[in-house]
Amino acid sequence: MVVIARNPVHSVLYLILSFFNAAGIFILLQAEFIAMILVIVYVGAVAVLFLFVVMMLDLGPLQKSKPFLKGFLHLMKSMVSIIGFLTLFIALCLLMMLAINHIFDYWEISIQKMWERILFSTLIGVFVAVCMPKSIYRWLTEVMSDLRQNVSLIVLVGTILFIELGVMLFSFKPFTFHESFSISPISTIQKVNNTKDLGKILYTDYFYLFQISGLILLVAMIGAIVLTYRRRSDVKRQDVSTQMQRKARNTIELKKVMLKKGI
Amino acid sequence: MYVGLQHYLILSSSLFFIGLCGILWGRKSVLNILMALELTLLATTINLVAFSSYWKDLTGQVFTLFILTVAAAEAAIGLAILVVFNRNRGSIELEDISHMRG
Repeated sequence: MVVIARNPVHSVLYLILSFFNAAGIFILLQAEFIAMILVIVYVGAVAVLFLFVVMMLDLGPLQKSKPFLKGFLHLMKSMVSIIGFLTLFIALCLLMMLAINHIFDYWEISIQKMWERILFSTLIGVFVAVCMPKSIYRWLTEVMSDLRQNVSLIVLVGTILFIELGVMLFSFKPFTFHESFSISPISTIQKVNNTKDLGKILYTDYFYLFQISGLILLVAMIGAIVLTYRRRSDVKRQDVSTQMQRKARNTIELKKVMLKKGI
Repeated sequence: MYVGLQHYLILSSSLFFIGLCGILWGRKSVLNILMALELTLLATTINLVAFSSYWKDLTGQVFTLFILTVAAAEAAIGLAILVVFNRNRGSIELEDISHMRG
């Protein structure tokens, strides 16, 4: 609805609705602090900012510019390409998961060794990608730019990838849970609540990241002020320093006026 | 009905897809694209929190906080640019923003 709604104000209101839904979901997931932050920061600040801007810019409901069929065809083309890319991405992720699973299941070595192995394989992948000749890249980019034109090729690629995905799904084994994986585990004692727990981690392990996020907010604030500030020439302003520097001898001139003559 | 990790993943991926459609297809004004961007970020946060609750690991929630920060900063800057652009050109339709001939 955020996307479809024609009136921007309705769109913003649907966005607020979806934020509230997400906050409810976070509460179900036992992440109360994030839910509260979402309601306060997003609904309270960002969505209202959006609403302000929409109403300030005074956008009317947008008119329909394209004929429906052309828009639909365009949508289908982009959808097909998106689905192709998504399938590729998911297939790659599943492949990596499968590889990790195999490493875990068959060669039962210590976790340190496993991570070394994974790191090593990624390094090899990066190395291969760097060493690949430039012509392959050029060919790839040409194919990518042609994708919008010939839909049939991408449908073919998509079906192949989809079959691959299905094969992987059937041969997929769930990831076994390792206790030592979690870096900062949620405390199981229910006396410590979510906020306290989060604060403990945030101010110890992720302190530098926390500082950097504060810096990002500062930069965003200054940037927004600098961008939108303008000095208006038609409004009279009070200039304190010139007011304080005014002296009587600079502004008042005493003249002796002759009788019956005037100045 | 038992609600597992996969339901949250389905929800977040569908939300992300809706946001992506809004970015790619809803070429009406920059404001709509910014809102669709917010939607994709929301999908990401749902994904992170779901995994954080699944692995019993608080790191995901910490990173959710950072994502919220960055999203707020991005929204502020984007809206400021939008306001300045509207003041200079008088329109924020995406069709009109083609002065760079990119």
